[in-house]
Amino acid sequence: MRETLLRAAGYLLKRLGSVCLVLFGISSITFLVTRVLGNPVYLLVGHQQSPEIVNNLIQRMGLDRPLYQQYFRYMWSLLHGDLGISRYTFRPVLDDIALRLPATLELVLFAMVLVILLGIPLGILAAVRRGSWWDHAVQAVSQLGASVPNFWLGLLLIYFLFFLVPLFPPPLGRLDDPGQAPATVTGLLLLDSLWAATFHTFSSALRHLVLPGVTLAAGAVPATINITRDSLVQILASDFIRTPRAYGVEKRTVYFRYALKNALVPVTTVLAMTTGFLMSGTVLVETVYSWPGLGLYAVTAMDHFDYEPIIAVVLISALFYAAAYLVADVLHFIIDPRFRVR
Amino acid sequence: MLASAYTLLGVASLTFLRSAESPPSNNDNRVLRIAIPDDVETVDPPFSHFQMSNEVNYNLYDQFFTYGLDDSPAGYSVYNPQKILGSAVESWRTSADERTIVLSLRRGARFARTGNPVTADDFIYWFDRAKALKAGTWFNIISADIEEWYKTGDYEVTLHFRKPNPFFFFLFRDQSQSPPEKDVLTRHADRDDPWSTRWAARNDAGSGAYYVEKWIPGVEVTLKANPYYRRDASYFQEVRLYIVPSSAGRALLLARGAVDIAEQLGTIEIDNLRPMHGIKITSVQTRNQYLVGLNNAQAPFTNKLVRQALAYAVPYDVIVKDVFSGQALKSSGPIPIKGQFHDGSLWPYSTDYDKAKELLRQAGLPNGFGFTLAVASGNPVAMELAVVLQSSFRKAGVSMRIDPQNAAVFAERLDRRSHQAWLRDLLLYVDDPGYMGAFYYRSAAILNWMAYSNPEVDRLFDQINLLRRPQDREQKDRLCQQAQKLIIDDAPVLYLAEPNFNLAMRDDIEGYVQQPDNLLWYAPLRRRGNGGAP
Repeated sequence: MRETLLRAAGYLLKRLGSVCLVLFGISSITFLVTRVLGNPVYLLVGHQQSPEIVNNLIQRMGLDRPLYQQYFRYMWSLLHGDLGISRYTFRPVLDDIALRLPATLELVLFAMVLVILLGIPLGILAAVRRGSWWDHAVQAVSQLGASVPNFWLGLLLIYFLFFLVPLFPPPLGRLDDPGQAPATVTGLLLLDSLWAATFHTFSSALRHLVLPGVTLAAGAVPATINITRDSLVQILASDFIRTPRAYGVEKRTVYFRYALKNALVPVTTVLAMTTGFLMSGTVLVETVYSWPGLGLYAVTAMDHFDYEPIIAVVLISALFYAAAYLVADVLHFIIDPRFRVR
Repeated sequence: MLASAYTLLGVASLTFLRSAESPPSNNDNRVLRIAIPDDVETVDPPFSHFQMSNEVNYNLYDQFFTYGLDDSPAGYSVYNPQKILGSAVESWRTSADERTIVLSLRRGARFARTGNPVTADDFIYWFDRAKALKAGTWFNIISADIEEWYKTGDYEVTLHFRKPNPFFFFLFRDQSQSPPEKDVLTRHADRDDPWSTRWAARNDAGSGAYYVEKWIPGVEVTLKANPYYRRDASYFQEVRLYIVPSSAGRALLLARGAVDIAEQLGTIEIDNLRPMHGIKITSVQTRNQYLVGLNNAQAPFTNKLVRQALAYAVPYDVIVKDVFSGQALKSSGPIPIKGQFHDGSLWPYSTDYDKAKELLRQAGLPNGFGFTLAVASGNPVAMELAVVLQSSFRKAGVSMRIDPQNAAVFAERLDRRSHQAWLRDLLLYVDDPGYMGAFYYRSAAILNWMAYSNPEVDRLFDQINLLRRPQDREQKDRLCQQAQKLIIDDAPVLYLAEPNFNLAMRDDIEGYVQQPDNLLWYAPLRRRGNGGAP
């Protein structure tokens, strides 16, 4: 037991070390890429320029220093938890992120729930009814979902479900009236409104969440269906499943107690990847739905050549990816005994 | 089991949807809802660089001057640059040598948040702050040749100019030329930030028609009417600006009636909305021109004949019809068609490939030539224009490579005059040929991205800028004609088209005023059928 725990701790430390390396690499690359994008000063001053004004702005933005100095300054600040000041919002990037991250998390988590609720059961259905019209129907829907770009699906849903048949509220943020937001506990409006027992706000938040959530999830459900299906089909064809079936063990018990547990290992990996996929998908979905999260923040920053928020959002996305993979690894460690002896 | 679970989910969803309220409709007549593409960058005018921030600042602060308005037959009002009126400044006296102007400030003007009067101290603080910070406002001060400012009374400020300046009044109607409340800003100053730039970026301190009541970053900005505002009180007591980045999304919100106005829509959305019931598109001819600048210091554009040849190879009609769906005018010279002193009779160019080839032959390029056109990426109209031009120039034997560049790189290279040719639009928001010449066409002009130089043109613009009295109009007209004729003949720029400015709104919104910089002014807007005055 002690040996297993030690092995687990060593494994975790190794993974955390590689996460730190990845974050360092990503922050360096993003820093360099934003600098290569060009000097935004001339764009910012527009017609109102004189050499004095241009030089003043270059100085204020710290762009007069050599690149290596800008880099070390940035990394030093980063190590101290300072992500800089957004030149567009004139606020510390950390404050901006704290304000917007809950909106993105709520959207991603909601989409994740949809992915799990739809992807895994439909994958199981397709696997256990392999070759039936159920299987074909699920695969067809899955292929359709994979081939529709989410920004287009978003516009389509808005057109049909807000414009033509107004079943959902206008795509304007997270609530009908932002003034009705509950006191912040988690920043996730669904949870906070439940906590505050303001069911009207909960309903408003949920109705605003459905269309962007469905749009975001639509791209990730097919992969989950396919992996669940393929993995389960493979497991169902193996000897350790055929044997209990031959001994007359009930089908449901075989499927859910033996087959599904084994099929979950690749599914957890896919779900980890899905988390990252959903996080990156928020860039387009948040833009289409005017959802005030990190994705929209990044787009606005890119539109206005606002370097610091771009680097910060990329870092946070990378952190999200890394954390999701770490969780998947830990889950593998728990689910699959083979990981414990490696 | 699975089927039962999904049935349950379906029933729950239906119940949820049936309980869903319909989208909020605009029932409150005194609330104006506007869908805008971007969040507001800052409410500190000197640091405002983008259209939405400029617009909001224009409405939050009271500028020195404003233009008088003329009614247009199309049902909206347009500014008249020949009628300069006081805004925060009530009146002024100019010395005989035109180097001193004494500004009498408007008595009774009050700051929106505190109700304190706007005094000379606030104006002096504004000048001092501009000098210290050297941001956008400073450009207007130095461009107006102002070298000194001092208080000569509680409500009087005296300005001293290095030399008489013809642009002072035009420049000081900009959104950035608007004093904030000194006492409020100084209260938020500290050693690191003596001019309160951090605080002022997120907090307004103006005396304009509105003030910010609520600002939820990335979501919504709510403005409330300034109860002390000196002009006719604003009809809309509240203006809600919803941030909707997608152009299609803004159009749908307008079509559904969830907003009253949708700003900055694309051509497709405008065309789709035009026939819809309950929507009106206000389409206004402005002084925005799409141009191709040719670098006059780089071969082969050092040769006037080559530049003229390209001017004959521009497909003017195709551009208006196909790129702008007919919602534009064919350009005909450096002064836009809606500008003062424009003379369309001087324009000789039309699409004529034979003439273009003949000019190239005379220039020693009988087999044509190749060049590179830089375009800022992220500007779909410019990109479409570039493709249309590329195909048209090929018919004259000219091969054009399109170089889409990151907008920052594009802007930097413009400043360095390193593009061989560039394409962009340019809004001449100061409607004065002298201003245009001084900033764009004089040899040393700061925005002369064509590296164009003609000493005779320089001389003419210098003369034009000396003519400031109403009785000089005839002479100014003559000189402007000469300058236009020379520039058109030199062809340092290809003038493509002047697209309309389109604003989509619900058809019950009235009182639109077309500003020279296309900023939407909320105060004169009203909703039809509800009285008018509050």
